[in-house]
Amino acid sequence: MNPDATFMRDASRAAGDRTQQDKIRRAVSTYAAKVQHMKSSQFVKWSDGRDAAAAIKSFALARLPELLEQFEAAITARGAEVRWAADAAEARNYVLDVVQRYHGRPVVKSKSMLTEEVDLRGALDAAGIPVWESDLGEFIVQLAGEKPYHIVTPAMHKTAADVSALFQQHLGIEPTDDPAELTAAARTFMRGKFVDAAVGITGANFILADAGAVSVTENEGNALLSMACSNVHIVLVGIEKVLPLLTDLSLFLPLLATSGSGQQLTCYNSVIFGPRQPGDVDGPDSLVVILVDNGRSTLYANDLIREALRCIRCGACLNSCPVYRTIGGHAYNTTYQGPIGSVITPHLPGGKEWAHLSSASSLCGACTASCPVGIDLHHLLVVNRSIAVSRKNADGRVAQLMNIWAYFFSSRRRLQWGRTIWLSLERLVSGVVFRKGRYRPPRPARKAFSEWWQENDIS
Amino acid sequence: MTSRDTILTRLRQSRPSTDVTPPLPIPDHTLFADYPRTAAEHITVFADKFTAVGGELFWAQSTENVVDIVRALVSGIAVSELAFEPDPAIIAVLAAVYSYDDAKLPPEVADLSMCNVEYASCRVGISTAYRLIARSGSIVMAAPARHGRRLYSVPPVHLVLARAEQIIPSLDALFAEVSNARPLPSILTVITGSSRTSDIEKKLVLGAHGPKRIVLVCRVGEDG
Ligand code: SF4
Repeated sequence: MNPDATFMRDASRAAGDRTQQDKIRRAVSTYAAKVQHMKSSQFVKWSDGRDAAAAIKSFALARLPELLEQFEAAITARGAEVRWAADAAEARNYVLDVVQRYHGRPVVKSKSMLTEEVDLRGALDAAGIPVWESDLGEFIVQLAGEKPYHIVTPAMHKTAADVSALFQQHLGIEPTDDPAELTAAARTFMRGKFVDAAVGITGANFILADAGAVSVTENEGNALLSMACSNVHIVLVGIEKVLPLLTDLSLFLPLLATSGSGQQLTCYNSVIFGPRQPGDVDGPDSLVVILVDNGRSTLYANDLIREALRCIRCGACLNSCPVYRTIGGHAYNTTYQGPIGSVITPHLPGGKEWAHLSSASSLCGACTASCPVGIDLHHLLVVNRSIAVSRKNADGRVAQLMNIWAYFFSSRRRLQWGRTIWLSLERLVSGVVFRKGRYRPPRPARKAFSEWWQENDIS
Repeated sequence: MTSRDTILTRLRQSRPSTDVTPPLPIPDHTLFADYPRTAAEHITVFADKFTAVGGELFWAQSTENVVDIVRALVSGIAVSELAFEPDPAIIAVLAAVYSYDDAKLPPEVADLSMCNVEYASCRVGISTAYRLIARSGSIVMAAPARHGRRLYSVPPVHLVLARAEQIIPSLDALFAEVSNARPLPSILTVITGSSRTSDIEKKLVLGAHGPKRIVLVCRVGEDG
């Protein structure tokens, strides 16, 4: 089945699943109240913060190649290795290359959507290297053998009972529905892995060009633990994550925390300037930063879509989207769900098949209103639609239909005929052409508005 | 051509044609409604925010105060179960708490290069702080410092000894300072509250992977 048909099937099924929607509704309403409070109590004007962030990100994109080189030079000078990966395979190979030096010792991974995007865990599994997701939500999803449901809260769709069942099966715990006990069980289990792990893999929320630094934001302390206990720290980061100045973080960290989870600041914001330096008592001996393109330069080359690269992956647009809230994360079947996923997925490698997602939107604009870096998401969906249509046009069928449509709609008189013809044929055509479909085209009014106007003599 | 060249060339060829001037940095104090302005405000705002995110705060007026507070916090815990920064002030406090003479501790208890397994059995990590941030109630750790990274991530309790003068208003002051620091630290961690998760049914649970408790003993006043 092609992705379009799968999406229609899964989305229709999810749209009728009340329990799933209740879970999403509960999660999202807690979130929305906290975000609202944080925006108004913290910012003089939230929109000023958003506009400033958008301006900084636009500047960073305009200077992207220079900033990346500046970052590379600065962090290399302190002993980090920087690798450039054109695609997912290259990124995976760099990681495998490092990890295989420590045969058999486990790898601990923190939450990073980019590692999902390049299917890093798949590659490590295939190479027989034990890899553990250390973020609690990701750990749950890993044990369940599923994909993340949401870019910020991956296990949003699991109840405590679901988690309990998984932990009973995999960790051998006693049954409990208490989130605190379940968290403690994961903590205990994962401690052993942190202590043993040779390599810690994290993503990065930002990289800073002037200082040559990597910024990692998290609540649980798992990324920090892996950066503290492992021999090697590998960072996978998309090339669009660069900010010009270290001081830009004083805006971006609160912005991300506010939009992502309604916190003033996320619990741990670590800025890494290099591997262990002289005078350090611990920390990894080496730091490898892999700068990943994987389709980003294609997105970058498109003047109309480029601004999507401002995204800081806060998840706000998912939470505000009525479509996401109705069909949930899995129906999208993509690494990035919700509005931002629908915008960027068609431009990533193998993305041509995902144009249908841009039509899975009512264009209500809730996503755009919620975005902390001012991405005009719902207009970008329209841009995607027009790209998809012009692509389909290549085979001529859509163009022909559109020409017929234009023929009738470009003249008042022809529209009148068209209506008469359609009215007489409608029953017949609908019966035959649309028999199997669930949708029928709307039936034209018996009387045109102009006729009604004249008859009622309104002036 | 290497991937590096390919990527950079592609970006150069397709960059936006309009030249963009760098945006002016917007200072935190015009952006944030809760930016503390006076030194007195720094202290009250820090206290409010730090406790709001779950931090445990003790004010101490004198060294004896600090010793009393720490003694209560580590009661029932042996000195060998601590990981502590070999800072003279911390050593002096611990020597008093554990009744060693001459503000000295036996050398073997101060070894922060122990292996991960040993570290994992430490019950409290004790350190100084680099800065305290009022607007968000955060504690900032920066290495290289004698504490390292594991001290504030591995033990279930992180106990910080700091002074009220270390409070700065907001993140802008921190990053401005660090931008000019040479050498740069190897890591800077802004800690806001104790480790937490709400991954299961959005219920907040403290102590996900990092410390469950973050305790600050903050010196105020002139002496010492
Ligand atoms: S597009 Fe905007 S709202 Fe959506 S995840 Fe990215 S930054 Fe957040």
